[in-house]
Amino acid sequence: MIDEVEIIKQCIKKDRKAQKYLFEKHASVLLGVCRRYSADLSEAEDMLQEGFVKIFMNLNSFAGKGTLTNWMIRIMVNTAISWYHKNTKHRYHSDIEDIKVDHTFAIDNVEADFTREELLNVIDGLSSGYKMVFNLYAIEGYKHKEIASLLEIDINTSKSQYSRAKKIIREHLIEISKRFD
Amino acid sequence: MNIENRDIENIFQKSFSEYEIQPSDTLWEKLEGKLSRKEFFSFSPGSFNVYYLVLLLSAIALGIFLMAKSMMGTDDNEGTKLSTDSQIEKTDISSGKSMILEMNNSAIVEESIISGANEIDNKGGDEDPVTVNTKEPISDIRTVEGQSYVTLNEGKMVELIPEVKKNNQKLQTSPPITTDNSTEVLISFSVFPKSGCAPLNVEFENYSRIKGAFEWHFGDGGKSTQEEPVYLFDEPGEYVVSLAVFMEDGSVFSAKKMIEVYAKPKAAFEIYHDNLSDVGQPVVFLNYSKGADKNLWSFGDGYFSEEVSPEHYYNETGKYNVKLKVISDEGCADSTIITNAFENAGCQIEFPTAFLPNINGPSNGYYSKGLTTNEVFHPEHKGVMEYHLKIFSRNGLLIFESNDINRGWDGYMNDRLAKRGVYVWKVRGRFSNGQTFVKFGNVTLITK
Repeated sequence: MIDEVEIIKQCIKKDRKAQKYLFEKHASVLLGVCRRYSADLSEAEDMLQEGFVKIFMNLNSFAGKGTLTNWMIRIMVNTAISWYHKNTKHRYHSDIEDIKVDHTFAIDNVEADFTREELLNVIDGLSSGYKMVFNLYAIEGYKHKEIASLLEIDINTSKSQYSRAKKIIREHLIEISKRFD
Repeated sequence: MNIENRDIENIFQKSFSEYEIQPSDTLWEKLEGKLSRKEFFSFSPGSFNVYYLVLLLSAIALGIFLMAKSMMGTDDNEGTKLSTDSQIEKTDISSGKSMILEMNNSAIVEESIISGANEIDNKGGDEDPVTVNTKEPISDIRTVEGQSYVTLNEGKMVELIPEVKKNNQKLQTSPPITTDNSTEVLISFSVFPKSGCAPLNVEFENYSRIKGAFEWHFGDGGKSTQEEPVYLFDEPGEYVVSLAVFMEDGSVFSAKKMIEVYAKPKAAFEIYHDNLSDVGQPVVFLNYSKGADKNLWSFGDGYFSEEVSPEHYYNETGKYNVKLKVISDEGCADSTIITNAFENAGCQIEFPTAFLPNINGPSNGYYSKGLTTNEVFHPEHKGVMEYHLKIFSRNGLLIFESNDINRGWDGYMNDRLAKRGVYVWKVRGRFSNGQTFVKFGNVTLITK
């Protein structure tokens, strides 16, 4: 069993072998996180690199509070937020809005499990602001107050964007599940 | 009955809580690179980084600067190197003696000119000679109303007496005067460029602070009296260019610089085997260039070579421009090009101006090549790949056509001998080297 504390110590000393070990151990989980915050795998990998640089440069500030993995995920999410501010926020994107909703159709009637790819597709289709809010609230578990501060938006904006995002997602999931008929 | 909000969050949380994606193989390498850069640019006491680098470079720079300062002579106007090849010469024409102040530390003064006396000789008045300290730097040389003065850095002016005065006057010997790098230059010029390939056009800028008649000697026999001439050195060589300034009092100041003119190489070549129609044979290029240290061939088909006399196979016949550029070690270049290098090599087509058809009847028009018989109107040809011949009457009526170069016109139309007279022929085709041709002319059909 490799001692995590030892590895961290070596990483702080800039030991490349230790860093590579840490990277290989956690990269796939963290890449999964990044994928949710990016448009495609390639952007996700760029984000991952940036995040890992931050991780390695700040390992000495990991105080052992909570697990290393969670700490790394937090750094990765922060990286995603910075990325959003720097790159995505200003990109043109069209909102998927207002597809016809069949209100008689309930999603919990259907046994269909949605695949990860389908879910990823759906949130990929959200405009970047909605996607950020949704990710942070629904998956990362941040509160709206925290999200507002991180994304530099009003708390009410965060709330309304979140409910809007959910509505859109719901509509899309209903559409998808219809195909199982 | 809509899907509950909680359900959406559940769906996503469940799905993505253990979402893993294998990163691509090259990702660690890229990350490593970024890390190295980042680590280098951030300070950490234990490892070498950009701050230490800056410190190191500053230390080195400081070291170099201090070393250079102690070695350096005066700055000449080019600012870059110590001009050991530039001197100031002051000549007094009447006495024939000269004083040389050199621009670096090893300056010596030819003796017996400077009036810097070893002792103070108070004659009273403004003309008192003053003791000149051997180590005092000179900041200026000036001629005022016929008298030359040397200004020392302290501001003291010393009179320069360039000649021995009268007999009862003491012959004052001079201690050597040295200059240091704070001496301002009285007469100087800059050249641009200092070296280059012949023919070299050099611009001279005159920074001399004294005004007089300028005379430039360019070292190859050329001269100029312009203040800032431009001169063309047409022949390679090393030239010492000097500028002399003639003062009103008859004294002369001069400065010198060296110019290096490199010989330009000469590109020349010949194509040995210029018949491209023999595909499968290489073409040989013979290099007759002079002064070439590097040969750059371009064969015109997208291929290149740096051999001296290369062989090259062309994949197909066609028009090619072959270019050779030669470069000398100093970087001087020359090039030459043969355009359409294989044009018409062995390709031609010529028609006669008259022919005498056989009256016995039509033939199929095939003639034997080389036969002198002119019963069939046909061309002399070489290297023809495509061929289309038309023959018209004077009225423009097409009376014969052939796509086969081996088949000419026997003079018959619809099995009847055509009338004697002048006909018009026109041929289109293509040679084996790819070149197309269109020719036309008149032919007289002769009957006995």
